[in-house]
Amino acid sequence: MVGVFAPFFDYEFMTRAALGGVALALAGAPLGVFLVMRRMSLVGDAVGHAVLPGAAAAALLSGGSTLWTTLGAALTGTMVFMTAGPASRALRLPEDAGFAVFYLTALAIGVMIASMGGGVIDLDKLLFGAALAIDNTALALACVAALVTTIGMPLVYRPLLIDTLDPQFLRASGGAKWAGPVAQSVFFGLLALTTVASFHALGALMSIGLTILPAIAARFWAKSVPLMIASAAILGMLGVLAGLLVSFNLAAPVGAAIVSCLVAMVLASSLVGPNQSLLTRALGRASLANRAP
Amino acid sequence: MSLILNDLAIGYPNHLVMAGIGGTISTGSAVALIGQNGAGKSTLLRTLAGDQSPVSGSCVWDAPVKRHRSIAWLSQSPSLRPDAPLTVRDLAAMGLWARLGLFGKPCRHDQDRIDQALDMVGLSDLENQQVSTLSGGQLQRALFARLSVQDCGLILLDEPFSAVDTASQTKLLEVIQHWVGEGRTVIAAIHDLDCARQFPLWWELSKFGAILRRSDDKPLSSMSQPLRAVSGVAQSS
Repeated sequence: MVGVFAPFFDYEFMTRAALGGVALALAGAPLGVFLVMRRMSLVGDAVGHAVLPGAAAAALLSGGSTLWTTLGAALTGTMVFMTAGPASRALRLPEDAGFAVFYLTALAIGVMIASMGGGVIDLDKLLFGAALAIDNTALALACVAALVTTIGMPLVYRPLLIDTLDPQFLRASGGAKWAGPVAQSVFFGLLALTTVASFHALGALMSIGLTILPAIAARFWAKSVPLMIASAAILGMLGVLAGLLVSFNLAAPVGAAIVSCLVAMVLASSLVGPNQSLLTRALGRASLANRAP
Repeated sequence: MSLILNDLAIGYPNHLVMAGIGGTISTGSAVALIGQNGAGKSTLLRTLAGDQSPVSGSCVWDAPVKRHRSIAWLSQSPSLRPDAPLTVRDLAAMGLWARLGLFGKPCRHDQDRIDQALDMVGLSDLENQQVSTLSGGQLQRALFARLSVQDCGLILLDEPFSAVDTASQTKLLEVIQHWVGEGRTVIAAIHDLDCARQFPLWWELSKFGAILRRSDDKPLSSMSQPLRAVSGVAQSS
């Protein structure tokens, strides 16, 4: 059994990837649970895609510097996030339609910028990430995201939870008026930081996967929000480690392997998890049928 | 010690719903806010709750007891997510938010207040049940428990009985009577006049303005300063 995990100890790049992945899973767990509860999973995905043009342009100008690529990714990701909602409202489009227009535009521009690089930019790396090639800067960013999220989320947990589950009550309950907007700003700031940090490992197309998928799986394991966050963190870490091992042993693309393992966890959780899974619902129906006269 | 309305005008930037609402409602009153659809009941409640700014004028809630200075409001369509991962007790405990803030811990007294609120609405047995599994009437009772825990002096209810059965309605009316007995003021928008007759005072919104009167049509004598109608249109008593 220990032998299965030997690559994490034998190869430095696997150790580095595991550390980065575990840090991102820890950062993503509370953010993902709140994103899913706020029904913003796809908005998070759109923002993840929107980092591409900034990352591509910065990589082109800086010769592939991780730091500049990160800053470029953060810039366009934030721009799309800040403008898509207001633009949708101004054009009287449904908000998800506005996000679709913006993120597809960002993806297209990003691919064009990357293709102009004449081989300087590795488009595959930008799109799909390179978890096994995480350098010190990217690893440090992942650890910072985990640390800041672990400190920041408890600070705004209470107003963020009420704002997520019953925003009208938060406004009218007589509590601090600033609490809701501040909690939202902190939450979306942490989400932007974690999405950009994940970008190096999973690329623009799948960077939000490590945040969203464990949170979706966690809903089948826990009923309360704190337990959902704990479950999402554990499932995320397991998914990262499993994905890295699959990638190592099968020579599969690492980002795709991690996301595939996380998707497998969602499927398994939806089948056999103790909370509202297909199995527990079937058992509940059978129990009711047996009790019927 | 009362709700004081001073030449209040309610509405939206390009749509004035009603103007010239003035007068006072004493503490410990139970008032049914009645009127046809579109008369402005919800707009008035939202304005009193502070969720919407008045077009002009002001409304001031002057409570005799310090802890009763806050206003609680339950809208016709609460924004509580139907799949919220909360137990009934969690939902009631949410009422402590204004007092506890970001980091306050509920004390023994707070826990007792939650227990009493759940007991009053008849949900003690369901305190650990998820709110997503409650019926419409049970959910409304849980929201009343949260209002109780908020411990506010002025409680505004927008169509609180519109989605509940008779048994739940009876229970909720008992809760309102209990609140009034504690010296709180309750104003409830109600479209069903039979139900509104359970309230001693009616605040009627119509094209003639906002008129306060007794629900049994007897002369209004208890109010020191009866509410007056829209300026120059009608008088309340």
